[in-house]
Amino acid sequence: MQLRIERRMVPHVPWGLIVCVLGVCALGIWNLASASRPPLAPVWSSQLLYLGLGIAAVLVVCLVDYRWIQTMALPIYGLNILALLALKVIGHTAKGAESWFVIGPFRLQPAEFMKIGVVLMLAKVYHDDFRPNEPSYGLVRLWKPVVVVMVPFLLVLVQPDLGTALMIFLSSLTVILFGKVRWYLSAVLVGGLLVGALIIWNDYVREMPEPRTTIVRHYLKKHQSQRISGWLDPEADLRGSGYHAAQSKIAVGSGGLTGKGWREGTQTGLRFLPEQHTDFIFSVWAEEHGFVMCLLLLVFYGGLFILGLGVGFNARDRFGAFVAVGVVATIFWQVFENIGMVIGLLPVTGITLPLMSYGGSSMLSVMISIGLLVNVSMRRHMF
Amino acid sequence: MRDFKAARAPEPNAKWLKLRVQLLFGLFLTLLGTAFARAVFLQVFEQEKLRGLAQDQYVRQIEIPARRGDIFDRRGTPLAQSVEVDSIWVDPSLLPDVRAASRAMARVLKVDADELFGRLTRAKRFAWVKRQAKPQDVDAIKELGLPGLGFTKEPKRFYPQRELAAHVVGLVGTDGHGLEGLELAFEDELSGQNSRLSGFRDAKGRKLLVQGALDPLERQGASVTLTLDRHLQYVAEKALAKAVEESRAVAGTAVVLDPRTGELLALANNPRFNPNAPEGGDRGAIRNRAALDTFEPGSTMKSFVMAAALDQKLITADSTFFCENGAWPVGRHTINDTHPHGNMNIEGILQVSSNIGTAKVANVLGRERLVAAYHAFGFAERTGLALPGEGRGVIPFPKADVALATQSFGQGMTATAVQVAAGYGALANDGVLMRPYLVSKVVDPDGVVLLENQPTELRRVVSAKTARQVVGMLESVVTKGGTAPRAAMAEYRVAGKTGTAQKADPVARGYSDKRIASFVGVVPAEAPRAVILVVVDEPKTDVYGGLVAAPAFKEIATAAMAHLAVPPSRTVAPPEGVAAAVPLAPPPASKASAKAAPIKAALAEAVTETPEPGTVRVPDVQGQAGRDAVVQLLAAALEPQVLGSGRVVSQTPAAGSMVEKGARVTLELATRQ
Repeated sequence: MQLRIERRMVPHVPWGLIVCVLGVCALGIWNLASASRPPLAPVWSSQLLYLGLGIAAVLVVCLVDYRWIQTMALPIYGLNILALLALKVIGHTAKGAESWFVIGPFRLQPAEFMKIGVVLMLAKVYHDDFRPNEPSYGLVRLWKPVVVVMVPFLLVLVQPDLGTALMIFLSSLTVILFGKVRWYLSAVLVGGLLVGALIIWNDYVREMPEPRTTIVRHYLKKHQSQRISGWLDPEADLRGSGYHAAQSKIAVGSGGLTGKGWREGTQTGLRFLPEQHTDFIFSVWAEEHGFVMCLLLLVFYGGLFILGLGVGFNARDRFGAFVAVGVVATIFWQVFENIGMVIGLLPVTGITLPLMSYGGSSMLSVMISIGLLVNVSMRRHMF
Repeated sequence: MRDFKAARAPEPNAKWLKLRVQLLFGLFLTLLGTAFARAVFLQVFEQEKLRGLAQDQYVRQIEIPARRGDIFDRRGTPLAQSVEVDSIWVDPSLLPDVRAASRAMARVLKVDADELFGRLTRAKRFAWVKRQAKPQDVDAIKELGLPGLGFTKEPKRFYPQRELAAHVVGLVGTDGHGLEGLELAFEDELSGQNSRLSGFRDAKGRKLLVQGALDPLERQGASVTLTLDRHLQYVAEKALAKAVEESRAVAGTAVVLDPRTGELLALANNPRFNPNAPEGGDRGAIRNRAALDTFEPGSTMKSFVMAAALDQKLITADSTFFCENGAWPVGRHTINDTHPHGNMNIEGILQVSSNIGTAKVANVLGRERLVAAYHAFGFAERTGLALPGEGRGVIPFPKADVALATQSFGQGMTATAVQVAAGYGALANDGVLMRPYLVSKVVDPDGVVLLENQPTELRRVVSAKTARQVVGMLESVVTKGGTAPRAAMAEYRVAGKTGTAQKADPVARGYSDKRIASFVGVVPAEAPRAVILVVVDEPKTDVYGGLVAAPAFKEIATAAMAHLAVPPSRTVAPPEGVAAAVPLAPPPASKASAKAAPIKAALAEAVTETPEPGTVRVPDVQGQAGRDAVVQLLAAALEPQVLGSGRVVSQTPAAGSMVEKGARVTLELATRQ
């Protein structure tokens, strides 16, 4: 374990990535100051504190050689699983989900950190499991990664926090696909997607006399089913299931090209937007700053993903590459799902927008991930 | 550190890894591109539609109440005005300590702290602290410096003349809608067009206040001008109050009517109430009895019977009727007179108000013609004063003989005070009934006349000759042998009629010993300018109209004649020594005949004859042209201050009072309408 920064590491500090991250953070705090305008509590100041903590976390993570982290992957993963289990006993319930530890004034969401744990563990599994002659994974060989993913996935799912569980699943799936699977598995995946689309079409879209013969719909809970129908047709139930989707669509669209101005957003100010400082923070941004600034934000995020994948591209070992890909995939799916739901592309799930939404756990978790990226990048040509 | 060592062996930089990163690249960028395309679609192509949807949600029309129109008397003195007053509200969520804040505000406003606290805790973001607060309260609340306080202008109704004509003008509620009187009758005109302002509403549907209001002139309600004369109204109310108080009566009504036009110059009621603080008064005090309530008028109706009989040549002025020495059995009933009388002519019957004599005239007249005559004089039909709930009165057809008899002296039928006054107006106006009216004009803020009442002849009831004849006969009532000598005036000829009606007992279905005493007078009898009716309900000391109502009539008539600048009917030498100190002295109007001149000289003399050092007596300049009044005041070493133009309608200090030399005398001038 080495805790120093050597001279030769300096040229490999990914400055572009850091600029992108800090850019998003700055816009995020500015935007939060608008979303939490009086008389709401001015949460942007606490977000500033979390950002400071996050930057500190980045520095700490950078100092540690990631190969030491690699050896610690299993304990980190185990601790996170333990935390999720402990949540069942001493967790705090809010909004129907047991997702938080309450420590004094702070509320900690272990599921956020579980994402990192899963990524590290997956990377370690793939690193250790490397067989030069057999690059692609068959069903049997996949058991280890699948166990690594499924344990936290199920634990988060029963909280119940479908959104975070889906995120873990999606980012892990990306990593597994990245690790190369046999072609029939890919085929199964594509087929599964098609079947899923077919089921949704049959259960929700297709014109059919009542009672409609459904395949999956009657197994879903009402609120889950409504999410899907609300996503497909938000106008159908504007006061109920479609409210979130319709309101955020209105907010985003009414922003137009140039937006309404900072703290001038009517849908935000008059609080038509639900969860405006957490899940729907992007609609605040889109309403008040318009399409042009949305583009800027997308450019920052795009830069983050591209440069983050670049870190994986140039990583010197499998572990580094898998960590980089896993981290980027985690952040990407969150950003994509969040923005997608705000602009009515995807169903509404309770996913925050990394670095923009208010929330200490999320901020810290994302910053630790960024720290891992920086770490992998800096130690590119160590030997 | 085993892993560490293993890792030291550099892995072959696998080509597949790079390829896969590039694939991932592609996937991510494609998905981001999809999101981007969607954003373009929403924010560029659908922005108009979605912006419209957004506005539909938050824009709400806020109605701003129009400034209510004013109500004026005939000379333009405001009787009801709207003023903008501050209302205080608070956003309780911004208060650091609601209990302490409500205690502090309750102390300043002198309201119940617990009640205020309850209101502030019930509301989340908006609660009234005090609506239509006084300016000093607003200042005091501002001094508290509490966060979250807001002040907003609300129109409030204000009655500058307080009790004056309050029954006629009526009332508005806190919400600014008319509740009583003309405020209710002209609600639509007075309230004007409420203006609409776009305001914001939040997701919970609360209206948010918008800065800046429209020009208040643009949304003002129409103004209503009455025929009432503030001065006469004041005098009538004062005299009536005195009459009611002195006779310990429960209520009273006084009506002053211009017989030539039908204009109501005064419409007084007692008990009175202050419309600025209506909470204090009970419902009964708010009631406009003069127009709304009907009563059995009593003997005042006799004049109409006589007029009808004379007009139809059924009797002549010289016809005599035997008055049965005070008791005349009709069927199973007996008609009584207060005093026994023998044979009397028509004038005599009216003079002593003989029930028997009138009943006999009614017998001559017959049932149909009696009822027709009453109807012709305007009874049992609404006068159309525009007051809500105006009374109509009932004249049942008198089938029984006794009913015919009693109806002839005003029992067994009902009428409103305004109807009685209007009927006498017809007699005073040479037999032509004018429609009585109260509202002369309704003008909207742009000057468009929405309603204008002109003097309207309803019908000729009796011939001019008959009318003059009856009025002449009625002059005997106020003579020594009549029922109302107290109504006699020194300078003016008065024709009048008393009424002392028995009140029907609604419970026992008969007549109680309660009375309604009334007096109706026409002055001056030779050329009537005013019909004055005074009705006193349930007097306790005396019950006769001649004793209870006549003095009030005289007080009103005296002031009215002076105010209307009516030339005296006859010259009366002013009693020695009293001179100008008597406010009853007729005002020497400039257009008065030459007969008035000596009085003027006598008055002037009286003023100069009080040489107390440093003080002077205020001369009476009422009714004079402004310039003459000023000259006279300057001559008396007083400083005149003139308001308005035209003739003097009031002066302070009053004529005859002693003031220091150089004191200021305020003259209110007005152009006669």
